[in-house]
Amino acid sequence: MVLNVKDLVKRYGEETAIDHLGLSIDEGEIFGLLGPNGAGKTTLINSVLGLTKTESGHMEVLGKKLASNGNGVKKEIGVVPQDLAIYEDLTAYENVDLFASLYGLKGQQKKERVEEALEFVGLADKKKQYPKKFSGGMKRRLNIAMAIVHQPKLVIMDEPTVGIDPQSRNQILESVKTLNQRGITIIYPSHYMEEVEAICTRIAIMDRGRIIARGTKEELKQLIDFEEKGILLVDRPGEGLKTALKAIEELNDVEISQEGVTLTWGKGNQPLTRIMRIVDEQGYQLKGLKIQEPNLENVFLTLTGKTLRD
Amino acid sequence: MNIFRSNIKRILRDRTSLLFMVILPVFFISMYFVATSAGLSGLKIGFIDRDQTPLSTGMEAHLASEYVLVEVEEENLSAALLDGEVDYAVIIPEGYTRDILEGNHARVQGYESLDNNVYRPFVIYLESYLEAIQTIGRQSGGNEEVFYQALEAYEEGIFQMTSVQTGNSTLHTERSMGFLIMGILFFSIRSTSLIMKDKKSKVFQRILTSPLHLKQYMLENILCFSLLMLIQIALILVVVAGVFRLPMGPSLINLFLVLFLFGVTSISLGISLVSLGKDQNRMATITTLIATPMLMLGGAFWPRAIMPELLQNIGRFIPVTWAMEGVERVLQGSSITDLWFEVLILIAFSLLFFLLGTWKKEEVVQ
Repeated sequence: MVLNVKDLVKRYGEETAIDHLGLSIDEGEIFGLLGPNGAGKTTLINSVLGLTKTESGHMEVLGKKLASNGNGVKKEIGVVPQDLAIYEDLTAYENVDLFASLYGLKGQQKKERVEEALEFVGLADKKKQYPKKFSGGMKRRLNIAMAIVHQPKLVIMDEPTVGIDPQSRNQILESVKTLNQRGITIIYPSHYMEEVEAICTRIAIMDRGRIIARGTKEELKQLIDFEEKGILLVDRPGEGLKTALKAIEELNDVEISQEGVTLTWGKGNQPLTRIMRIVDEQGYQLKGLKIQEPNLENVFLTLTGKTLRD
Repeated sequence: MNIFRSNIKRILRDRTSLLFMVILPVFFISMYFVATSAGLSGLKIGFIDRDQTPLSTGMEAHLASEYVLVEVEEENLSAALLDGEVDYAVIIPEGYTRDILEGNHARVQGYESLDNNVYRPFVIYLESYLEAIQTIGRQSGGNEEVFYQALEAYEEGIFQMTSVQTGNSTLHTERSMGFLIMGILFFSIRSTSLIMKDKKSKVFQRILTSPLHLKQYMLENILCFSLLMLIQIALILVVVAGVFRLPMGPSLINLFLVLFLFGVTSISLGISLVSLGKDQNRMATITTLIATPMLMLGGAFWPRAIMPELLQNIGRFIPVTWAMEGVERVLQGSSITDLWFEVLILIAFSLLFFLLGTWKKEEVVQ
């Protein structure tokens, strides 16, 4: 087990940042920590890294207690902080080189690892440049190179895609998957539901310092009683079609909008064959049917009554 | 020493940092020192010779070559000092030469106005000169001829006094040294702004997620800033003593060591202040609020002797006091080993500030 947390409590004055939290993460996972800002994700990460003291609870990182084996465990962890924590007045190479040294790498091995890390994030050709000249995406990638240069067993990536262009975002998400394929366990705290849904093998939803749900994305979606939606794309739908569709028992609602005909049905009661038949019977030509499945945003909204961006 | 190396690299590469952390401090402190010491040769010194011997007349001639000697009657001395007609008065008592030749402890009388302390550099100079005479007298073994020959050689600069030991000095702070101490204090604390920069860019927090311990990070920073301080103080002393030829006491190296030790103490203080200040502005405010009273109570702006006893006692808990004491004693001829107490106290302050700046890790990373 990479991380094992039991009954963890952290308070800042009157405010409880981590509230009797329990969590376990297995080796080889990309584990998403999903929650809005202020949910306690960063405090939990700081606790894992030994940067903040907790009031009570038990925590083991890579099978060792952090308090008694801080530096030993830290050598096995790579951290991509939410903030762009890089030296603007050192070159890309020097930044990565410094962190390689901090993690105990030396000589030829260090040189090779630095080159490798820069190559991995696509900055090998920019290694002599200063980050102040880099775009946001390039800085984020350098941030990652500094975290993986020592080839850790666990990488914590705290919202590594904040404020960057879609292309860089995709590149970073791909690199997360590649790292995971190399056997590195990833903890991925984020409030970007789409990212967590796209790359994480398991997800924990955090709110107010607690884990309120956990599992694979499919398991999480099973937790809620969600009405699925479909939009029927036909030319100029009329009242006749609407009335005919309403006759289908499984459909909870039928509405005609500019987009098409919006249909709502209960989870797992998808009456697609009957819908198609009615469209055909009514003399319409079906141009398409968009089905909207529940996502983690819906799960979060249902569980907490608020959206992830609140 | 990774942090040390990268910091040096960053400072040398960043012209602004280089300017603010190395060049400007040297320039301003040197210029301030020179400015506050300016006009030393224009000081009006009252000289009253009651001894009337070749030695005392020779002393008068010697001082006249460096300063403006003003004729003043002994009964009008107080008025002359108060009116500013003389800045400082020296009285050579009767029997002074006899005491010198017999190897006894000979004293001259000095008179000063507490309203005015521009004479202080002169006093340092005089102390050094009188101690040289005392030592030559002792070494001459009562032989008047040998004494005058040696004195002449000394004044011609044929030999230098390397062992100058003052007896009972009543002198306290020396203003220019006070400003030098002030400059070292402010610029030492200022140098720790590099850590504040790391905090702002969050590199500081990131470094602490690595196996590097907070104490080691701070220690490497102290070493880096100390190296800068070492260069700065050396340059200041070279400029002040070498270029402007201002009197800096008998041992420049001892003076350098005391100032450098105080610089290290100030850097440690800066390290502890960095843990309090969350940004550069707050840091600047805290620095001013802490450093200014320290300088006042430590005697950098005026002699501690003129302060109430309570304030003098409070001053004993401030490193500036011990730095000033150390500097004064070095200027008066004490060797660095004589200053073991001041040195120990400054080292203790350095350790205390270092521990204060690193002991509560949680607050540093919040």
